[in-house]
This record gives sequence, C-alpha cells and structure tokens, in this order.
Amino acid sequence: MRDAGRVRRWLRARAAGVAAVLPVLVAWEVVGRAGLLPAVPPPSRVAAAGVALAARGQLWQDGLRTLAALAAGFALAAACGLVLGVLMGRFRTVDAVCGLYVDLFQSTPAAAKVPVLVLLFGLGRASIVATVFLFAFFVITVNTYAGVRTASPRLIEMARSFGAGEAVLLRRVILPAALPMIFAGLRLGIGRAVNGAVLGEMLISIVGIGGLLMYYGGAFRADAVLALVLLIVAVAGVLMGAVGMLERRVVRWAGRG
Amino acid sequence: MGMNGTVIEVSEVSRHFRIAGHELTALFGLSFAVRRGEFVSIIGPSGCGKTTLLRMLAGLIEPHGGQIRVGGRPVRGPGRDRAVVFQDFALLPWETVLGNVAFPLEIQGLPRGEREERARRAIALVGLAGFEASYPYQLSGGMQQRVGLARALVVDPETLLMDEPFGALDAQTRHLLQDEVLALWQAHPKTVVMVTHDMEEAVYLSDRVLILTARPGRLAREVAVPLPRPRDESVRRSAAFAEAVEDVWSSLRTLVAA
Repeated sequence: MRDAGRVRRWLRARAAGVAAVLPVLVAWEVVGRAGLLPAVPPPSRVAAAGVALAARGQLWQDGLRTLAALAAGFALAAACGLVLGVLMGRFRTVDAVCGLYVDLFQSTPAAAKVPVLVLLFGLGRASIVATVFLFAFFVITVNTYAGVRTASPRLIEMARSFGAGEAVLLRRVILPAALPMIFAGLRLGIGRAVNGAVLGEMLISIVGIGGLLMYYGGAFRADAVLALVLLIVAVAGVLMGAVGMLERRVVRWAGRG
Repeated sequence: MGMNGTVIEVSEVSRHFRIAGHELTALFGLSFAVRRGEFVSIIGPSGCGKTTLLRMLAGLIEPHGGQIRVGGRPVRGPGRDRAVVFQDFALLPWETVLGNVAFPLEIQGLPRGEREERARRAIALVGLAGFEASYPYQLSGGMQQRVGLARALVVDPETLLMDEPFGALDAQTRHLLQDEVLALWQAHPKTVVMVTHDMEEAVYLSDRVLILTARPGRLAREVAVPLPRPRDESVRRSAAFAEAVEDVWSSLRTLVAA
C-alpha cells in the first residue's frame, strides 16, 4: 500500500518534469523547422547530429580525454579544498593568512586566470587540469570552511570534557557536522569542474569535447554544437546526481539533529 | 582522604570575562569543599557564574585566580575522574544511543567489544534498554537526557558534574527524571555537583545546597538539607521538605531582589 503510494508520487513528480520539457521541445521543433533562426536547428536534427557524432569514434576519444582531465582536476581540487577548508576553519592564523587569497581568487572571473595558467603550465594537458582545479577548488574550500565553522561549540566542549584531542574532535565531531556543507561544495564544485574542463579545452589546446565544440562552431554546425552542449549538460547532471547520491548515503541524519 | 574525605576543594576562585569591551567578574573569591559521596547543589540568581564554576570543575576553562583541586590534585584539564551531564544534552546527532554512550570510551581508546558492552550496561541502568539503535532525534527530551546521563556514567567517574541537567525538560519529565537520578545515586553513590535554578530540585536531591550571590558570584550561604536518607518521592510532600525549600528561598529571595 505504502509502496504503491510511493510509486504514484514518484511518477507524478517525474510527470511534472516531463510536462515542463515537452512544450519547450515542441516549440523548439516548430521554430527550427520554420527556419526562422539559422542558429536554432530543430531538436530532431540536433538528435541526428548527436547520433552521427556518436557513430564516429572521435567523440568517444575526445570525451574520454575530457573526462580524464576533469577527474584529475576535480580530485586535486577536492583534496586540496577539503584540507585548506578544514585548516582555515580550525586555525585562526590559517584563516587570516589564506582567507584573503581565497576571497580574492574566488571573485576574479575564472576565464581571466586561464592565460596565467598557460604561462605556468604551457599549452598542454597540465593547463587544462589546472583550469578544472581552479574552477572547482574555491567553492569546495569555502563550503568546507563554512561547514567546519558550523560545528556546535557545545558538542566540541562535550568531546573535550571526555578528553578528546584535536584528531578525535576533527574525525568524530567537526567533520560529521560539516558533511552537509562539504557535499554542497562538492556538488557545486563538480558542476564548475565540467565548465572548467570544456573552457580549458576551448581556450588552451583545442582538444577533447571543447575542441569539438570549437571545430563545429567554426564550421557553423549549430546542430552538432547543440548536441555537444546537451551532452555536457547531461554529464554534469549525472556527476552532480552521483555526488548527491553519495551524500544521501553518507549524511542520513542531516536535518534531524 | 578517607571514605568521607574531601574530594573537591575550591579555594578563592575568581573568573572574569569580557563582553563588548567590558570586564565582568563572573566569580570572585569563591571557596567551598565537597566530601566524597556527597550530593551538592549550587543555586543562585542567573548570572551568578554557576555554569562557569561547573566548567572550571570539569577542566574546560581555568580560574583566573585561586585554585581548584579534585582528588588532591590541581585541575589542569578534563580528567577521567570527572564526567559532565550537559543541560542541552550535547548528543552527537549522527550517532545512535549506543554510539553516543560509548563515545567517551572510544575517546579513551577502548576496543569496540568492551566499550559496547559497558555502554549497553549504562544504557540499561538509565532505563533505555531496547533503544540502543535509536538516534537522538527519535527520542523525547527526557530520553535524550537519560542518554546524556548514561554517557557520563559509562566512564564510572568518581565525580559527576551536572549543569542544569533537567533545565530543558518539561515539568512532568523533570519530576520523573529527578526521582530516577535520586534512586540511581542512592544505589550507586558518587560525588555529585549539580548546578540548578530549581530550589525544590536542589533540596530534593542534595545533601547540601550552596547559594551563590549575583555577579560577582560568591558563596552567600550553605544549607545542609535536613532530610534523612534514603529518600524517595514521598519526601516531596513532607513538611520538612517544604521547610527546607522555604529556607533556601528566604536566602535566595534577598539575593534575587537585590
């Protein structure tokens, strides 16, 4: 009985989503077929372009390349962001020294940093990984920092009263309390990392999905460009969903404290 | 230090703090002693530094003047001879009842098997057997404070420090939990220092009630509660109980009004 209710609720929620997309697709198809805007091919042609792209090996090769840069840059950003965020949250001196730079870097447009990266790392993969890193690092740092600062002073005092040192405090009180914020940072971070990967490939060395985007853009193939954009959106969505799923598994207690 | 020797010695203790640039004296020249196995309550108008005193006894903060000795040694930090029961329970929301009660033993580095066995016994002692796998948010306030009590008892401390332990509970729950703490203490005597603002609670549970003055907190008077042990719930309706509460109130009234 309860299961049936859950299924029905799930369907209803999805139905609303589908209902929201359908009219847009239909309108897009109509506008596209009418040929009013040359930059807007109908979705059917976008889909066909996507299928054609997928049929050629090039997309998979380029896609894997992008994913590899994405994974490397994001893993670095997550590791460094977590460590710096925790240190800033726990130690006033680190906060004072690094906080300024984090704020500063975070508020500069990410694309403006790309030329600097090229100077530092050259026109190769390292620069693309560095771009991904810079796009994701700050939001992860700032969220981890905020999460660490939300840990209840009462719980910290409780743990200290039973003799907990800094390591136990961190592992058993502060990090669990910070997890919801940390995951919010990771979710935002992975979305930005995808941005960074594609932008890096477009601006630095014309490779990967970003390279394909540049190529088809230059050839005025709006259908292929849109197919690629949809692919990027889908990948970003899947990755953010995966982080969200991990979060729900790890942070079961969130919001019940 | 015999069976009835002094466990806690507070001598000339002062503590200041700053609020918005103003230096305030929370406690000044406070002295008292607690004997082994004694149940002492500390009561006073709000802002008399009761909780500050308890945190100093726990070793969480240091006195700015004077000295606190527990078991003959000056307090330099938290120690295994003391355990605190917190007003707002201070339970880890992501841990079960079992995980919360076993937490102090985990800090001490005990192996899982041993700490869970001891935690289960402490949980049973406070009447929560069967709730080991529940999370704090699934429990009522009274049950959460039982968890807080079990967590303090699990380390088998010589001294229990309770910071308004029933302050966050509704009247009926408070009543019930007071009865249980009384029974528990009489079955397993420990030295207890309890901070409270509830006069009846102080009289009902304590051997002695220390009355502190308002800021700066210092000892105004101490009342030895003349009720015989063991006590039970019926004591609350006795004339001697009402008299003792009246006695405490007569002192407290002048301090609150001042």
